[in-house]
Amino acid sequence: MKKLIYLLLIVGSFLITVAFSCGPTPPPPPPSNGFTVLTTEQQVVNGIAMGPRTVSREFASEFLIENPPGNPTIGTLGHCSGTTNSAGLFPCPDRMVPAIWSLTEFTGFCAGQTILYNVFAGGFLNANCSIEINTFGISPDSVDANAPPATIEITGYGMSSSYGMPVIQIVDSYGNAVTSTTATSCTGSWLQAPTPYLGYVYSGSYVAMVYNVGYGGDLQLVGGAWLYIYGNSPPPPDPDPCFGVYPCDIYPY
Amino acid sequence: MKRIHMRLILPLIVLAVGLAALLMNGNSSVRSQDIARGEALAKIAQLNREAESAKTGEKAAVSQLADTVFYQFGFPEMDDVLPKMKERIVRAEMNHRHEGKGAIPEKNVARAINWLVKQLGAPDYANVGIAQVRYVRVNLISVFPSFIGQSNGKKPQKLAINPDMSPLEAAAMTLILAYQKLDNEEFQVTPEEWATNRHNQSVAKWKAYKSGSPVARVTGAKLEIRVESAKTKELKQTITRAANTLGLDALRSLADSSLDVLGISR
Repeated sequence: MKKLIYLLLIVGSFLITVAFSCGPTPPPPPPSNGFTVLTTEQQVVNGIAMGPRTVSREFASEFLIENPPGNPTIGTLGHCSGTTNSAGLFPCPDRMVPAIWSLTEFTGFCAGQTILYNVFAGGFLNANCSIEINTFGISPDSVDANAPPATIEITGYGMSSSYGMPVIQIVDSYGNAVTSTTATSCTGSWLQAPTPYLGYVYSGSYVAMVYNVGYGGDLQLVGGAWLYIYGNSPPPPDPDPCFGVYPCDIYPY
Repeated sequence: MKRIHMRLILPLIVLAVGLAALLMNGNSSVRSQDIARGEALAKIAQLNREAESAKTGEKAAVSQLADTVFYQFGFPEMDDVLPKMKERIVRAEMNHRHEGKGAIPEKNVARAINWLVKQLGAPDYANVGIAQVRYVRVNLISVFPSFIGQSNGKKPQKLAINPDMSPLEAAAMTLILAYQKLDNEEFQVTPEEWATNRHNQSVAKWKAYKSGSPVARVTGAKLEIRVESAKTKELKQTITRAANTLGLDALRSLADSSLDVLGISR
């Protein structure tokens, strides 16, 4: 009995190793009857997407169901796993298509996440890992202008009280400073400040910009975190395309 | 008896092996995410560090920053073009740092893109307004504080961001906005429609907060299938058509002329 248990554990461990190691192998030429996996990563900074970049990622993909259901598929294999190369590519020839497959990434930001996709013969499956990047955080991240908390806390890096407590400026989406406050405590990665008066601030998204005080008393921006202020009037209409710059002259032809 | 034991133990072992696999996968996922997050933050910190170094206007530092900026804010379709434009942009950036001249107003980014839109025969929704340029800059400044808004130009007091840009920042903003037009549906509208949409979204968000059911903020990472929108396909077809009609050399020359419109001296 003990021998059997040991045997099962060994087999189990082996299966786990095979399932989750998927070492890199040189990719064969692009398949005509299967598909090619393309892995990319895309940073998103406060809703602004950067161009996607190809990345090497470990993945496993499984056939789920032919698409449309009941239709015949070409290709014979129902599994494809490995590591995409530096151009983000991994060919999966002779796979059952057209069909719905699943794909799970095991490395990178999206490790552990699975997506379902519809794949055709000779097609590309572009699995894109979209990452929201924030270097600073704020707590709370939404504030009722008429019942604000006594203090706000900001986490990040590079904050310093060497020449004075950092100043926090609340700025709207177009860079207009609406109010400010000064930290009362600060470490390099955390600060606390009294919430400034927000009674006259329009509801909307704002960024709390953190400035260190320099040796000469100048303010040096080190980062910021997005804050939603609500409770007051709705946000005013956004500016015109010329943004009050006249002559506008944005069409040079 | 042995068979009963087997029937009881076997599923337990399979369950244990499965749980171990899940735990191993879960732990390695978290580790992998931590590593990836660390790498991304390190790249951002590197760009900010290089931007600080480049403030001296020293050629090697500016050139290094330009490479990092092109990688961070560029996109694959521009990878071949950017090295050819680099020398001119670096020279303009050095002059700006040394002599304080050649600051570029936000308006010029809109002008440069709109000029390209006209030359390529792209649809109206590819045009850019000044408000969009400012919006993108404010969204990025908190992450790239050493690079965005660092022009030597004078800043109005009520503004937290300098409306003038250094040549390299202006080039970066042109790249970012061109990419938004190419691939971000939110930006694939005319400047007028964008302003209206943004206001409507803000009001919807305000109403959601007012009713006590705000939409959760998107954080972290999300695996998704990348599918091109109809407008993305249309824009790519427009560029391909222009390349076929004008020829690649003419397209490169267009890119160079767009720097003229942007205000970067030859």
